[in-house]
Amino acid sequence: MFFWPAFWDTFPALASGLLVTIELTLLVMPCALVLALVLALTRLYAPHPLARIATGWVELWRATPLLLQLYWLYYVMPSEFGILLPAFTAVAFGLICNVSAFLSENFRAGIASIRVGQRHAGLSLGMSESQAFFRVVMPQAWSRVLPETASMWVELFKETSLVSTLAVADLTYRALALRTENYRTLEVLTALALTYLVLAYPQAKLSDWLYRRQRVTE
Amino acid sequence: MLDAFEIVRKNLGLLGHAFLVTIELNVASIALALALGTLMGIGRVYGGRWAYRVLGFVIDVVRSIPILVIMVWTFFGLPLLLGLRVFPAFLAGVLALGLHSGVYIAEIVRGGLASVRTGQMHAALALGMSWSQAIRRIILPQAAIRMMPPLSTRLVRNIKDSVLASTIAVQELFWAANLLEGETAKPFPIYTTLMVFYFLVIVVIARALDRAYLRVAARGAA
Repeated sequence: MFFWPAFWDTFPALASGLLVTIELTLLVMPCALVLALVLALTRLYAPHPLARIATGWVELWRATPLLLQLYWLYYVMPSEFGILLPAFTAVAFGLICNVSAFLSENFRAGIASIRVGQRHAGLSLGMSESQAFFRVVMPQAWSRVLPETASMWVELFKETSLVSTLAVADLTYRALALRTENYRTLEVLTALALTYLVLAYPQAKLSDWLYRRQRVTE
Repeated sequence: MLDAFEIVRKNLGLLGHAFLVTIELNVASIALALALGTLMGIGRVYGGRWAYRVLGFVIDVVRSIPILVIMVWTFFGLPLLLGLRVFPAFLAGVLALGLHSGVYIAEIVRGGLASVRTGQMHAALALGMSWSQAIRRIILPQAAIRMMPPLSTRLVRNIKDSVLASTIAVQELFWAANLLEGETAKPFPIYTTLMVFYFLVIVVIARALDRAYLRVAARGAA
């Protein structure tokens, strides 16, 4: 009943999709980290109206479903604003905005958790504001936000699967396409799930390990 | 620009009905996830070394697979595995969401139970309570309060993930929106309305859960 050859044959057929999934993850994460830092700093240090706008922006991306965000970008941008985005660009942009919103909340909490005396100490040693931030506050905050950031990475890796609904040829898309070609539904989908499992499991374990190692005890 | 939203107003019946499906889907899957998560969490804390390892492995496996893949596998693959001819999409959606949220809740429950000091369990047993009484009356009520913030996050996440059920043709809100978009080719009013609607629903629920937690937080303090 479970046709093993079809199962084994699925993996090579998924290879090109896997590359797209990895490409998307590797592209989105660094961009999201930078944007998240900008958002967190804006919310913490920018003047009132600007900080408010940044908060609203973050809330918007956090409180709506990712799939809906991707659809909105892909379908509404061209029809309403005449901005024709290739599917890959649209979903990459959507993922960057979504992931950075969650990361920025984490960064903000991490930076705020470093006592203000640390900044003062830096300043009194003759550092400039930016030196005090990047040399004193940021390194300490980073070790506190690292575990959450790692689990966000795993989340992102899994969530790239949603791009398959907009015909970006990622891992999931390849499997669903193959299924309609050979009708080996159970074999193909099981191979798909197993591929994600083998790739994400070590990442999840690594993030668990970071949680244990970086646990803050004050 | 406002005229564009006429299309939404005309189809409020369809969308309203679909919203009911979204509510049903979430209520059912969250109930399943809570039941599953509580059992697995208790199993991990009190089930001994093997239960701890086996359940931990199951949890890690489910955590490593995207919810979309779990959903598609449950709808298309599971009935083939079980030899079923008919498998309702709604049931597949509930099972997939319930399992996925359930394993995350299991970890929350485990953390909550482990945070209650062992003296509490000893005291309850010393008073003559059975093991299950002690868990139900002494340990869980204290743990439950501490579990509330991460549980709220998970619940909200479940609502957001529930739109993925549209991919297996569960006729929920996002499915109805896509149907409407397909018929009218007016993505802007339809998806924007949906975006605002989800935002409001989720913000209201998240705030309500926060308030509820703040009211009881003091009683959960260690």
